[in-house]
Amino acid sequence: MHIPELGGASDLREFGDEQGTRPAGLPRRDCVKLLGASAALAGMSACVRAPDEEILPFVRASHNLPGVPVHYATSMSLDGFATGLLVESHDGRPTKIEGNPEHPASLGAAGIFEQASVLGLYDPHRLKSPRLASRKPNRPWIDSRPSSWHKFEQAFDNANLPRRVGVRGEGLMLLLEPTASPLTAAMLARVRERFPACRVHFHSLNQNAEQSVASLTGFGEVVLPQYDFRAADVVVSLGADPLGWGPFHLRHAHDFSDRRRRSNRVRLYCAETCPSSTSTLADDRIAVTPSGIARLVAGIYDEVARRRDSDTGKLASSPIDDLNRPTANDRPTLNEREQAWIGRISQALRSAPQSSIVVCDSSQSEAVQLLVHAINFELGNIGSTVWYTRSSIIEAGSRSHQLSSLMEGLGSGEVDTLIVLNGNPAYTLPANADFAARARVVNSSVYLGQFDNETARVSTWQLPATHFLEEWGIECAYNGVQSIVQPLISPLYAGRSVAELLAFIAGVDPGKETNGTVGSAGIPSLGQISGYDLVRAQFFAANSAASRVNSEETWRDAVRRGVVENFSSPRVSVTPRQSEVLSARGLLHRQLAAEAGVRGERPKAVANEVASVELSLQLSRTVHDGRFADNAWLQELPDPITKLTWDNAALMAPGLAAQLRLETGDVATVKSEVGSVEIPVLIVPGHAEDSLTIALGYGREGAEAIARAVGVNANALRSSTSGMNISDAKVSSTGRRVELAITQRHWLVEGRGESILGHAVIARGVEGRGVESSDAEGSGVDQQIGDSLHPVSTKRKSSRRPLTLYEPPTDTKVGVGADQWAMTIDLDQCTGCSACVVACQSENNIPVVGKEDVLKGREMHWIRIDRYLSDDSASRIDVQPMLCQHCEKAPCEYVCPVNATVHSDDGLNEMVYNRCVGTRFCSNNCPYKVRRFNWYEYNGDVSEPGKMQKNPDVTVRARGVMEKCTFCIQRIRRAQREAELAGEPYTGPVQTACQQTCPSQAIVFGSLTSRDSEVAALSELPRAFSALEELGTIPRVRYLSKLKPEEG
Amino acid sequence: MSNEAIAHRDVLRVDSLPDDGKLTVQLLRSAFHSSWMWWPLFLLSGALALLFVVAMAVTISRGIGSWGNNIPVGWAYGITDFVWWIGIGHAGTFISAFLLLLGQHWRASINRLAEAMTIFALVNASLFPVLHLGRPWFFYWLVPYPATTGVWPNFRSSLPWDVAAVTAYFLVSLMFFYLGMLPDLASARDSAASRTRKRIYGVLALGWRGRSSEWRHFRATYLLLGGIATPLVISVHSIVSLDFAITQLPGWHSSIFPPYFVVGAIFSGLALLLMLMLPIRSVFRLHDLITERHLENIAKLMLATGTILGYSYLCEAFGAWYSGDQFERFAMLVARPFGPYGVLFWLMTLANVASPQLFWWKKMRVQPVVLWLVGLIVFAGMWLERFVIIAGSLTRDFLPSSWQDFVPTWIDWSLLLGSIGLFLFLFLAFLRWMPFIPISEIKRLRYEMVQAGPERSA
Amino acid sequence: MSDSVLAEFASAQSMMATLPRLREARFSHLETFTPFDIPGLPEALDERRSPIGWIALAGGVAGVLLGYGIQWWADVRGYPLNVGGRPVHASPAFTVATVETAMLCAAGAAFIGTLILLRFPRLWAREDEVDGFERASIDRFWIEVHSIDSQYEADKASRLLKAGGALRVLPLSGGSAFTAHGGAGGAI
Repeated sequence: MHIPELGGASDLREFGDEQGTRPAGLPRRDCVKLLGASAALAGMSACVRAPDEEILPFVRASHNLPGVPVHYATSMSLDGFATGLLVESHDGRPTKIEGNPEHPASLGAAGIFEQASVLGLYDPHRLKSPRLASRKPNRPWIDSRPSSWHKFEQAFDNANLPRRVGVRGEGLMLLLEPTASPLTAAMLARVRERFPACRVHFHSLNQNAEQSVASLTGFGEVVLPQYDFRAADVVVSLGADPLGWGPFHLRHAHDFSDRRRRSNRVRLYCAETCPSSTSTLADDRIAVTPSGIARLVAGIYDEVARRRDSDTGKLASSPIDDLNRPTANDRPTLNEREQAWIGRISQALRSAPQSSIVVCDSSQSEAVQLLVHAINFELGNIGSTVWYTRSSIIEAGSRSHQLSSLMEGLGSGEVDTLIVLNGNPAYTLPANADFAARARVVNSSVYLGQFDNETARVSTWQLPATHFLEEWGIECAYNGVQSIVQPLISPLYAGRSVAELLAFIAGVDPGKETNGTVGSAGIPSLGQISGYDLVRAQFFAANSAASRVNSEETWRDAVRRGVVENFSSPRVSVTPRQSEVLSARGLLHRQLAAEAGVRGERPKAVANEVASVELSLQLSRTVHDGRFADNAWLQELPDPITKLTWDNAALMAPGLAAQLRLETGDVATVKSEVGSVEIPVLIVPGHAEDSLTIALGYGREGAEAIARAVGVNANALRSSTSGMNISDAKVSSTGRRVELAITQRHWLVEGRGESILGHAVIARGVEGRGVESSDAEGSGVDQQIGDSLHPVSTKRKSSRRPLTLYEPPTDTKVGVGADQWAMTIDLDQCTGCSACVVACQSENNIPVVGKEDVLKGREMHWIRIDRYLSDDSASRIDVQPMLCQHCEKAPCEYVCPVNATVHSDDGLNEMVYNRCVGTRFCSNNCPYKVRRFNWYEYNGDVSEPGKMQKNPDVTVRARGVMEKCTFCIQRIRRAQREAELAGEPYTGPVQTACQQTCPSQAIVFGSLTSRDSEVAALSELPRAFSALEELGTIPRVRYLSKLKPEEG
Repeated sequence: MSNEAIAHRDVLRVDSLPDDGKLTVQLLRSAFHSSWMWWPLFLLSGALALLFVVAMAVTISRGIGSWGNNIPVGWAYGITDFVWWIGIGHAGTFISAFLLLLGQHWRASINRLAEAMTIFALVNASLFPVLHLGRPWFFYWLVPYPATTGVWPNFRSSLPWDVAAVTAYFLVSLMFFYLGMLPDLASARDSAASRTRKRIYGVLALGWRGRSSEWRHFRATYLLLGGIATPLVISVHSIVSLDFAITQLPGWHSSIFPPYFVVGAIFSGLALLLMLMLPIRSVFRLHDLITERHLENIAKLMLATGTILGYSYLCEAFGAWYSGDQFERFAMLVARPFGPYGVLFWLMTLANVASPQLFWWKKMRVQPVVLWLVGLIVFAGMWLERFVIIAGSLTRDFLPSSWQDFVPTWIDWSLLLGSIGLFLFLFLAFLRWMPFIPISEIKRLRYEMVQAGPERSA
Repeated sequence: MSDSVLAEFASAQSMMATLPRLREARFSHLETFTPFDIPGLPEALDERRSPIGWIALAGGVAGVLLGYGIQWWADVRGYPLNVGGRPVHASPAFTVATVETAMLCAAGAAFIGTLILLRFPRLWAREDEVDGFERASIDRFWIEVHSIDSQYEADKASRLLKAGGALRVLPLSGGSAFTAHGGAGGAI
């Protein structure tokens, strides 16, 4: 079979075939072929094996040369939904993950999880082969010895499986993660065909059961709200993080910034417990506890509904509705701060009829969810900015998603065989669920997963699962668009995919499948089952079902582009049932009143320094629900707001900390009804008072060396009944202290805002309100207010070239001819999501230094996200991506004694690693402190498989040398070579890794000299400025300052 | 002649001095018979020096990460120790060369000690710049040797200036030191009992015989080297200070650094000189040679330099305030006095500015114990000053996002203490085997005074 | 017949007193050996100034050329780079190292020049054969009257020396005095 990306590989095969018949004496041309082939293969290390099936590059490469990377489309599903990706492969090694421009959830961007997952592929702690546990009584877990797929097969083959679980499968229980994958759905259906009575359950920490149930009650069916931020002028986020979290957040960020770039009318309002990336763009944010968010929702609904009632007299309705209907006099125990905020919100909402979006935290109660639907409905957003699609999550809203039914199923004792497919229930299930104990009572428990984690340790069979870069599959995006998952590498550790295992249990015969016929007659062996066949079968079956063209071409096209043509789920026109909404409102009001009562009685801080607070548990922004806890990139990625690495902490407001006499780093005890944990405190200005936020996903106890014992497992605080928000937790000090590895310890900007974050002279919405610019580069905002800014702009222009004794050397003069590389970063778009940080890390082989060195202040990220508060009130949070500014008058250069950092003709500040002796003088003289130093041989302890991730185009730096952002010089030089080969005068467009992945396209890179250069235009905008301009370093990175919030 | 004679009447207790022969024997005694307290001291300092070696080995084998440095604090203990030691070196040259030019005869009894101190301080100082490199084995890339790469040092950077300055300073001091020692080495050769000793000192003396022609060139060259060493001593620490002054880091970026650093250097050197001189004086009973006049003069010098230093501190702060630059102001008026190292700042001010003020009183100037203690305090205080300037300024620079404190590791401490050990080790060896008092100069001084004697009475 | 007379004195004063008498008697090739540099000795022997100053000056000039030359060649001619947008030929910066090399070369020239002028190291001289001569570096003062003098008369010389209070006067022979202490050439 032909393997496209392997140069002469096919030639080699010819050689293999002809071996017998080859005439003596090798013809010259064959000889050359062979040389080429061996050269090509020499590039591959022995452990890299391309998948056996044909995979197709995204861009059909005219020539596949060794050393030239090839991009393949695939997609990764997280929380059940897929994000389309392009994966860069060097000679068969996936090295970098980027977004797939054609995929609706990505549009070219990729989040931190997607990008970091390439490191997960090479994780040395993955399960390497099937293992069988020898069960010992009274042991916390069971020690296992190596087994094989063959043994597993025998144990569960056609004969044994029915004997174990009964012919109807009463004794069989499947536990999956919620997923929208049509392939999994099909395979599950098959399993049900074979074992009608089997139990199927879905569980994950991020299940959002409330949402589905809410929509079930509110609309009569399970629907997903779809948002169009391109049409929204007012966005109200109530505890949600629409631009920074969730299956579609990349798209949301893209659309939001797109709109915001075009019109200066777009306003964002955030109410939240803990500052989020979204709120860094907020024009007006308020910090409230989780219950406060419920109050705000109720308040806003009343405002909106009351207005509607006043507009159009009362609707005919039942007396109960009247009872629940908002009247002038009921205020859901809002304090004046919240009142005022609601006032501002509803005014803003009124100003933007049918063009606003209200979203809320998915962990809020069903009633709250339903009211939010209602609010959008009342505002007339439904149909314009918000619409609904049928949920593509398998069995969404059904009992199989309910935790309770899972519990009783496990407890029933009828289960003989428990099969857990991915996920890590032993860790993610609430404390009182005690999965371990229940799993131990079942006869045999099978775990298919990537790691030897908590669940694997309580299972009898531990089976290695494939990484998504190793498997075939079909996934479904949040909006229903389906995409093919194609492997880039054949499984490193003999893993099998979920679909394959399900097929085995269902006894699907792939042979028949490919012929299109259906039936589970002759039970195949696991060996016969190939994900490739399953996917093809599913693809063609679905095609013919939807009566679409069903040719090999459509298949190849889908595989190549990573998106299946017109497969997105249709809009369903539903409106919330008025009566349900009103009863929900009534329910919520009663709850809130009751809670208010409790709160009223509850003393704020008890004498012995125990405060009782609301506790909000959130998935970690960096390691998700713990599934990425073994990923060193993500462990060392600073949280967008707290800048905490390698740990989780109890986030609290300064006020509460003061009450408890706690400092950042003090260890506190946090108690809930079900359990208690001891966890260090981290003081977060802008956090809601009387509440704590703790990230889940830490305190892992599996065998993964990196994940083990990092942080504290806060699942101990959850009970199977309490959701993610625990209304009453007790917090007190232990008197102990630990050091938290925080990369930015200082919050305030110390009155330096003007020189660091620019002159925020432009207020949002002052002039040209409503004026829109269709201009592609969307400097619409700036065109409108340009005139009002002449003083500033002239000042800036003059300071662009400050007075100097010396004539600048000609080669840094900007003029047509050689490229002059530059970058602009729009602070009015950047959410600080940190995707760029991971992108840079994987593109530029940036090492991880570990907690100890982060504590010492030695993190290596070439681009970091600075976070500033202008004052203690934290009413406004600023973030600023900070990277090498490539100053034309670089202070680092003239102090280097050995000419190891010098300026290139095309305006790059170059770092010559092999010339550097490591005086660190350059870093001392860098006002931006963006240089990073190899204090130890950080790349020395990269694991063997880990080395396969390294980008061969970038030097792996040795101990004792300085390094820093290079503007992705390897990409620039490649583009220049290609332009040269093509004989073009100008270098083609070059994208830096950070720019390429930025969801909100805040980063623009290019040459100041090239024709219609976007970056040149942007860097001359009135709100463009250089950080620390007064130092006269003339940076080539220019920032576009944030707009001021609208007055009044 | 007579005024001069009066001027240095009390520089030597002529009457109580033994004749030349006995004097020579007395001053060379230690070279031929070790004193009981020498060995323990020698071994102790040797042990410390060993610690130095261990710390260096760890630094070079494991990497510079074994120090406490980080980003933003790229320089901390290593460079502090460098500047500190090189500063200490300055007093030696100052006393021997500068006072030589000024015809200050009282320098005679102590200049050899001071010069030895310079040499050994420079040995230490020259180690740290190499050690602090990320890749010490490439230190020679800072030197313009004929490289096949065709890449050369960047002479716009102040580090190659350092290389030039320190090398020049070390070699010139060495020549000055050795040339001045030739006549005494000859005396050692001629008064040595054993044959081997005669041989060794003979070779070292290069065949000095006190010929009139030898004295003729000696006189000229010695004066000339003194004349070169004096501007050199000024230039060297000025250049060291440029390592900081040419940057734009608030707290480093200051045009008063050169004079400010030179004065500080001499100040710290005098402190160490006191700490060494006083014990030697009492152990070897040199009260006739190192008289109260010497103590007093050094005390006065310290009072002067210490006060000038205090003035420099003020200038620094004022300059920052007067510049109106928010970063400068924050660094000098907020971060330095009240920041993470504020305590050190106040300690250093106390030690370097307040403690020398004792010397306004004559009692204090001649009280060995007080002198020794003040010497110790200033010795430590000057290290603190360098640390506060170098590391302290780096911890709080332009972007609050990059602010980060510095915490030393045991390696940092070992290098600091170890270097002190190495210094004592070398210095004790010198005391043991070399003529540490310039015998021939003493003889000449005595001769002059005797000559002047009758004239004065007349 | 001896090449020169060597006389030992107990004190610098008596030696210094004798020197003028010898000169009056037209002994011009005199040489002294003293433990320290006796003030007035140069005048008493009527020495010329030492040429060391000129040697040092030459060294200094060479140092300036060398120092600036190397820097110019390295950063301007050999490998011109755009360093921080600064001019390639940065004369203010180059001055610093130039000053240092100048002073180093000057001092080096002076030091090495001295050694050469004195023919150092010179581990043997015939005066060493005289026993008790070693005290020349401790507490005795010697005068040597060389025979290459036109008016040289051994007896007259020794008479004058004795009269000057010499402890002992002894003729010194063996080897040509001139070559034997060529180092003295400067003095003659």
